[in-house]
Amino acid sequence: MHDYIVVLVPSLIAIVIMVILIKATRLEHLVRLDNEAIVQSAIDEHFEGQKIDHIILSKDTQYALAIMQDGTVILVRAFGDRMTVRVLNEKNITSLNGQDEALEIKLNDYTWPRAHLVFENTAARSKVQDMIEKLTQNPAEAVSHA
Amino acid sequence: MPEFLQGTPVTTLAAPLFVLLIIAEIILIKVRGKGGDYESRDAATSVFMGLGSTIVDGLVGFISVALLFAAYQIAPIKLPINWLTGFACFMLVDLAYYWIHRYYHRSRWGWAAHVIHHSSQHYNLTTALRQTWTGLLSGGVLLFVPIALLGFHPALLAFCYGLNLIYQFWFHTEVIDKMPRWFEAIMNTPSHHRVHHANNPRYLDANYAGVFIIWDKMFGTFVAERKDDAPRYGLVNDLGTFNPLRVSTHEYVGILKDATQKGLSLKQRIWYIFAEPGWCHDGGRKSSRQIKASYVARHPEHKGEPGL
Repeated sequence: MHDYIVVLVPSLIAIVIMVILIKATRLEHLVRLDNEAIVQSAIDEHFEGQKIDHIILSKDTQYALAIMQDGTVILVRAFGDRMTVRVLNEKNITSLNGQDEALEIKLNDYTWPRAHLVFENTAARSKVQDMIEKLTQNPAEAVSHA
Repeated sequence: MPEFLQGTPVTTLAAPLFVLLIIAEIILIKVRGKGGDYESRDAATSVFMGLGSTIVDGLVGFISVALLFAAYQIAPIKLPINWLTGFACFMLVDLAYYWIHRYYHRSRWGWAAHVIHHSSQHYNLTTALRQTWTGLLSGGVLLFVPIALLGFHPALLAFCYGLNLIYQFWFHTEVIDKMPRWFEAIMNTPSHHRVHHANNPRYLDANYAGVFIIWDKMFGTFVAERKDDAPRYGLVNDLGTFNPLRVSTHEYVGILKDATQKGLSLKQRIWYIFAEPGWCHDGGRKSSRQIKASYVARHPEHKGEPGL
């Protein structure tokens, strides 16, 4: 037990010191998905050569949807100072819940918490929700309605 | 047996040095304005994973030790512990590490344990500490058994492995560009290991070495870092969580989901556990070989280059 305390306590103190130092030196630049260019860069990196039809930004700047020309819909998430992406399809959407301007997407993915997107108004949210629901049936049709 | 082989593990003794070097790296990056970046939650997760790994090793490490002692007991000769056998043991441990590491990347069961180390999108000294909690499950320790059977004392083996891991700490950095040419030719370096952590198609499954890069050159897995293809770090499918428990177990959860799908043959279920990461019965995912092939199809001008 003594050995564990000798390892544990200094390690936890070291973590706290490190985090304070990172914050104090302003080394981290958290990503905000507040413009299409940054979403484009994430798509270019992960889906080289594929063309984006249009991008929908969540008002909280933490999420975006990239609607590709081939009908694929990609969810982009700000993740610290990086981004992560997932293709939305019938296999990985566990649930989709819309309320007022907010849309919650739960993925069948152990490493992704629920995504909470916020739109301008209920109509905009409803339109995106319809599009994602249709994705599971006919991707091409879903895009033309988005 | 020498006293230094009986005390606290060398990796634990080196912990204060690790902390000091991380602080130095943060300050250097800030002062120079280049050479990597830090994100607080990512770095905290990495260090916490390292702490968890140390605790788990302390709890279950005796199983590996017992296995190595059992092998040593039946070894036909027992080698003395001196500088010569120490050097030979260090080299053999590094060679075994190369193959264990290669297995970790080429079989999903090994990858499930090792993926943790590659799960950060950053490459800095904290990444070195992002270590597995399930190393024992991977079975990698079995590749050290032949060394014990050759008559090397398990305590010497553990000491050499500890030194090996300590060496591997310093090259998880972008602060250092290249080391002198002679050093780059023989030793594992920041440049070589950046390649190993990159998810660019040409860099996948390359540079498995621990201390000496010569193993990769001997066994055909060496790829040099290129200025025109800067490494991008992380997984092919990056994680969306900093939760250490999820980071630590996510690939096992993936294996369980895949292998228990309806309608699979027994062979397909076994393949989901042991085949190369990315293997998929219906083409829904890509292995690293398929990713490289897709890249070459899009960029035929790069065909035949190292790693492609």
